[in-house]
Amino acid sequence: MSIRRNTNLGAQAERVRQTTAALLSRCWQWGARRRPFSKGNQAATTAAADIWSTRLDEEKQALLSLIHSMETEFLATGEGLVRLSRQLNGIQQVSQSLSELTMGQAEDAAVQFAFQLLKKAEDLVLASYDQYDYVFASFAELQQRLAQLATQHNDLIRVLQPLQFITTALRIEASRQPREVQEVFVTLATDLNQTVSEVRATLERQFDGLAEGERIVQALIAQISASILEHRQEVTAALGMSRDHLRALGEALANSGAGAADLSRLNQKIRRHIGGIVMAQQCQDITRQKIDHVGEAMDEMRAHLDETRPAGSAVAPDPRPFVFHAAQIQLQQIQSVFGELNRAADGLTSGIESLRTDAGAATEAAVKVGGTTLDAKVASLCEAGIAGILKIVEEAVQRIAEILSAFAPLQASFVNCTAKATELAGNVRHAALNGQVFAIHAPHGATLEVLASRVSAVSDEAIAQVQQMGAALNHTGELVNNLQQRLTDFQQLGQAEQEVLSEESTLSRKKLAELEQSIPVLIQRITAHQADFAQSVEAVLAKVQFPVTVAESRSRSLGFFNDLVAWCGPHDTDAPIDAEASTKIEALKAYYTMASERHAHTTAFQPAAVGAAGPAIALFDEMSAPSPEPVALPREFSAPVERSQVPVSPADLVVEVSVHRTSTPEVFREKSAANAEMGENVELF
Amino acid sequence: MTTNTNVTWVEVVRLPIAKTQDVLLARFVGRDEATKMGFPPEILTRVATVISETTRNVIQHAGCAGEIQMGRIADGDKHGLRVVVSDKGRGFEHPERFMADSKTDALGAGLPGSRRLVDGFNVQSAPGTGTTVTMEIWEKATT
Repeated sequence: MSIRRNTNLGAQAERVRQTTAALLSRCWQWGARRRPFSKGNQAATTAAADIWSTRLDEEKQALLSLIHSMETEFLATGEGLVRLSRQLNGIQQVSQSLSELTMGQAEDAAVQFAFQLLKKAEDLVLASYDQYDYVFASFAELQQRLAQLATQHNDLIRVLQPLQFITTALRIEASRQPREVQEVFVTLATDLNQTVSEVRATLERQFDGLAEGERIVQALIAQISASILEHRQEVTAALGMSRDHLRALGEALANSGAGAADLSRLNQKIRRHIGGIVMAQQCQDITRQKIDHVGEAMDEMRAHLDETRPAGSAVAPDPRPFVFHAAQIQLQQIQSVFGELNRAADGLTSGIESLRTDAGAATEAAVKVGGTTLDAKVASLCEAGIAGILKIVEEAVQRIAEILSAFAPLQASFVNCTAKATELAGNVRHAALNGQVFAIHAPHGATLEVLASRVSAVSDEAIAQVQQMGAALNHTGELVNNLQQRLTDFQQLGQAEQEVLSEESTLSRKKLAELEQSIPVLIQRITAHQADFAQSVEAVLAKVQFPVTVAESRSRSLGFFNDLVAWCGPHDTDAPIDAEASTKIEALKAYYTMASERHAHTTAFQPAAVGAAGPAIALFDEMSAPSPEPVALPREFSAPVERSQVPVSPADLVVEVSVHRTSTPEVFREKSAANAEMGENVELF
Repeated sequence: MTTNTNVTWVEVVRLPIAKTQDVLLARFVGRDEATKMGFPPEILTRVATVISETTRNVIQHAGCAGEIQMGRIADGDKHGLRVVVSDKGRGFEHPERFMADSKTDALGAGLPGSRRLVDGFNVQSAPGTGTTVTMEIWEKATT
């Protein structure tokens, strides 16, 4: 047997199901609406409903008051935060100036300039020492050569010594000759004796002069040598002291710079704390809408409660099932709202604590920065040190000039000495030649001729000796000449260098003086700003009542809704409620879906709403000022967001949150763990 | 900040660096050359300073004599002074690390301090092969 397939069976079953559901629904609605209170309960319920209606209104007003107080507080603290932000900008600017001055990274920075100047002065001093060393070495060589010359002089005198005996022999031999021959040779002997005497006297005089010059130079050299020793110690001490001063100044400046950088970093942290506080306070933007919805639901509940008053003889429906469901939804919502507010309050509290702590640390850092540099007042000492070095350099150059002037007469002595000795030796030889000529013409002049040739030989030997002396003297003269030339060159170079260094020293003094004047001013400014800032922080924080208010309101509001649910709970809460109430409950639930919130905020986020924004709290403008270190925060907040002073509409706040969210700085993203809920809410918009 | 190898370069002077006096002479000549080129006083001071710093390094650290070359450079309409200080002495490792300011102890002086004072700076060095420092200062300093 085959079963015939009925293709309409499904459609028929669906029609039956729909019809049955509609019938049951109508029956349920009719039954629910028409179910009267028992006469005894109605009066009590109506009285209780009246009380709850009043309490609902009071709670609603309390919640709205909470929102209003949060808004008012936000505006009040917002102004304070703007002031703080402005003060921070001021401190940052001064810190930046201080950093630039102290870190010495600029071209020709004062301390570096002074240090380089010191090194250049040291070069000049060291080069002067090189000259002294050269002078000492040259003088030692000169003394050796003078000793050789003295030996040569003695040799010459020894060479000339036989002439005395020869001239005596000439006189004796001449006495045997005719008168005219006798006269010639006596005259010759006399001339020779005179010449030899003159040679001796002249050479001795010249050598005495030379020795005198040597003694003068030696004394000068000894004097210079002694003073150079002292000078070196003095220079070493002065250079060491100047280096120490400059190093101390550099370290003090580095400390100040590091302190300023620390201060800058702390102020950046403070800036982030302020941002965190602002973000925490902005949670009212989100909660306000939810509390508005709660308020509307409370109105609905009040309307239901008010329906319990019988109109005429009609029996009013029991409001408690609806109120029970509605109150439960509101309780959940209120818990959620206060959960958010609590987290915001926690964030705010921790932000305030951090702000207070870091503001205190920043004040201490500012005081430390001030103390470091003001104590280190070494710029003047550095200036004095450099001036001292330049004075030493001047003395060194002056001493070179003194050495030059001491060597000048010595060199003149050399020239005179060689010229005279050569001339006198030539005279002796000339006389000897004359004697030889006369001896040849004398009748018995063989002996005379021998004697004259002997004189000639002595004179030749003397001339050779003088020539050697001349060569030695010339060599010594060249030594002195070279020394003079070298010292003259160095003196010119040293003087030119000294002039340049003096000019640079003036510039350096100016730079150091500016540094010395500028830094305390900046530090005083920072210290004063930071102290003002610390006071402002306390003044602003004193206005923040948000966490306390939220805690109180939470306790009260949750207690109220729990009581309300409890009032409705023992009764027939499972009883069906009418369709209209059911729809309202569904609507209440739908109020709190993400889609609904998004729609509400989209509606609020209209150009008209944005345009309606009143006078601005330019908090984020203030925070966007440049700071010494690149920090994301100011740039992130560069888009100014305006909000009305009184009252702030939720739409304005939504706009603000939205704009901020699009460029939420990293620092806030890092805090997302603590503000996760708030972050999600912000994400909505 | 490196020196430009594509510029034209005419050597003007070459001096030995063996004694402290040579440091003075080198900076005197460098200053003189920069004066002839019409550099303003503050640049003259910089020229003298960088020459001092680099030639002093030769005296103090190279362990042998070196030399300094100075010359005029041109790049199109731009004119400048190039100073090359070289030695074949000890040299040192990792000049780029040495040039980091944090490595210096003399208040930012020395080579890093010199680098801040010039428009172009290049240092080449290796242990045992010596050191060559090339510096350029241009008219209307770009620093």
